Amino acid sequence: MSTNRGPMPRRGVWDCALLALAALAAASVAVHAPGAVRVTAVLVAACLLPGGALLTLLPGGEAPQTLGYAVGLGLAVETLGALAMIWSGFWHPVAWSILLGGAASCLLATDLRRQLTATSTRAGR
Amino acid sequence: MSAATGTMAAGPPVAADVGSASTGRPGRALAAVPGVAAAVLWRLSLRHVNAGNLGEYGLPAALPAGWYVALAVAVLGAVTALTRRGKHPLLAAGYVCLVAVMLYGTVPVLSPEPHYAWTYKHVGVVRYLEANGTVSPNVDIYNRWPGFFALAAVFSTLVGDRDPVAYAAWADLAFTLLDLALVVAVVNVIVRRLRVALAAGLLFLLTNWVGQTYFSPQAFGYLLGLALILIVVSQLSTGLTPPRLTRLTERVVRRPQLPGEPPTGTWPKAAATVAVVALDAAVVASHQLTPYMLLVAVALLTVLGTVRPWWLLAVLAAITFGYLAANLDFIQHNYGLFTSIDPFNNVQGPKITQHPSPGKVFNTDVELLFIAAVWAGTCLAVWRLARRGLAVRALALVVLAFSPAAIVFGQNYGGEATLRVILFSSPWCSALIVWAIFTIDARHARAAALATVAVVFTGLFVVSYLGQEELNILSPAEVSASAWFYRHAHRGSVLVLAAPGFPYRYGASYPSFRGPEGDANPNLMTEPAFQGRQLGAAQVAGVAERINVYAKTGYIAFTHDEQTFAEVFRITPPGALQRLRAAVARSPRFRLAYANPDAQIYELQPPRATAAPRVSHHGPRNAGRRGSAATPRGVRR
Repeated sequence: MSTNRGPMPRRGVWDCALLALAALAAASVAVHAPGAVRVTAVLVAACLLPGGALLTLLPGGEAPQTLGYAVGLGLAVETLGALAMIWSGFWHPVAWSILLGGAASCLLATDLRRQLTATSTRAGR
Repeated sequence: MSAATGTMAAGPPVAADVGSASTGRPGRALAAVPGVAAAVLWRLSLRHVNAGNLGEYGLPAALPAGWYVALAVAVLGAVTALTRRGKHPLLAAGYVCLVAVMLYGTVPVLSPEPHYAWTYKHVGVVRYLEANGTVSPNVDIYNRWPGFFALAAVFSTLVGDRDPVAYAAWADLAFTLLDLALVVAVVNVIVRRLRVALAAGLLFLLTNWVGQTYFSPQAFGYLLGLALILIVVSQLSTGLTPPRLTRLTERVVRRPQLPGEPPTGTWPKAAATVAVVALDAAVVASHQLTPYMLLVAVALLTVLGTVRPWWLLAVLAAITFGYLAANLDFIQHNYGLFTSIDPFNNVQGPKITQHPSPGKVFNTDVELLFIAAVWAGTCLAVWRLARRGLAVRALALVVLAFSPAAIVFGQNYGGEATLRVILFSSPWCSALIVWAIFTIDARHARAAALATVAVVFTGLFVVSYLGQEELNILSPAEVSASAWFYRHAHRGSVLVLAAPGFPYRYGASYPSFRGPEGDANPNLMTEPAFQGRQLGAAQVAGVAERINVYAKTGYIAFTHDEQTFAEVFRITPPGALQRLRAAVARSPRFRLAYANPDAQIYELQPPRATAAPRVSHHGPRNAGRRGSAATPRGVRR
């Protein structure tokens, strides 16, 4: 676990934005939003959410690199998961997506709580 | 203090970074006005463009002046935001993204169907995996490298569009924007100046003309490859370079060289290594060529001492070659592992025709000019950076720019080796050119140099990237014909194309049909009997024979795009395919199975009392595999 984290506000905003994105993507699928909205929301969430969640376990960096790491890590995890399903014949893409999105949201929520706790501790001193 | 700020304080002998101060919000909003106006003008300019009837010069000749004005405003707006003091980097990023939207979003705005006929075979694989939930390794090479297709199948299921065509038209823009983000991130790590990184992103957009960002495994592999490079250079870099190389550079350019930048890695080494291995595993299972490109680049960086640990290279090599070994028989049988070790042979592209139309000759000339301009610019940039003492710091970019050329020593990749070299080197060539420009001390000269390069590259890009859209854009009617075929045609039959240009293997049922590997195979234009002559009733028997090479029954498809292909490349005289279609329609051996204004499919009737056809029955998939003499520029694997 990292000690050299980025400044809390930016990191907290990043967590909040990704959680909002997860909610938007889930809602757009659930209510079967218009095609363009649904595809865009799910695509952006797929590109950023799992990787962004993994980055909460690692030290922060500059914005361009953070974005790049999130995209790369997220797509790698999703691809390896999809490969495992397709090679094994255990094809459950919706369940896999819910599992991945849920795990990512948990990581982000945990990190957000940590950031808020750290902020309030600093404010109390 | 950020790494970037620290570097600037260290003060390389280059021009001071621009724009350390930022405009206020009102100023920023004002500077964005031309961009917003350009975006509106761009969209309005496309309202009356008829993409279904383009001439031999492709889309550029059909685009109105408003489109060019909008593009010029966006490109020059980006250059201004990148070079003017006081402009916020976000403004520059906005203009760069606008350029991406204009260049890569024009075709999907004009045509709802994905362009490139060969996109549809990828759609077919995704639909097949969705329908079956597993791969069938004996079907084709895509079932053996299913990473991209499996992920796309998950995505399609999730968004509820079982047919990826619903969103695949926008894949070019989506992949390009993601690539752009990663290129900017990599260059920012190496150069440590965000404006240089954003400018490199701009030039990357303008030099990435080879059309490989469509809905395809190579576009996906390329994206993951960029992410892998990002982690390698940012988290596993040592900041060291061999002293001998530094001394050699200093002797050649007669200038002292600055030492490498300190490493930026903040992740635990184990985490970075796991991330790289995971990315490589995803790339290896998604695309055949990309892992080797990455392996060469990482190997060179490791040998030069700029990346550690050593053993990471061994792990990447083990994954790459292990996967190949598991599929070696299939590759050897269908493609061959190496085509030639002669680089001059491997850079030869497929010869479609000896006498292309003036429009296609013009396209080719512009593409060659573009290649020459980028490589000449890169060489000059490397020299300039070395003269400014930055060769050591630019070493990673130089390695990344030149290492893709290694492919031409082993493969011609279906005549596309040159295109792949351009694809993999273009981000780093762009970065080197931009970095050299940013070493110009005088601000106005720097801005003028960047503007000149950007404008020239924009002109070359528009012709190179959009100049073949008369062949690439498919009408909804043509796609509907393909959809009909894969839903209703008899399983075990074969679909022969009159010429390349049909959305082939589009349906989930595609493995049930016979025919050889390769794009647009089988098609009549590979046969000398159909080339360079007027066609008609005399060739109808030849059509039946071509079908019977693969199956007793089959179909022949005539489409608008196929006719355009044959005529633009002057494989047949004008009207030849129309005459052949009319002759097929009159023949008792064929019946019309499907028709719409852009596409007609005729079915060969099973032989009754007629003479037995000269049939050579082969295996279902690889029977009678032929060369790709009439395969358009594009992708086979």
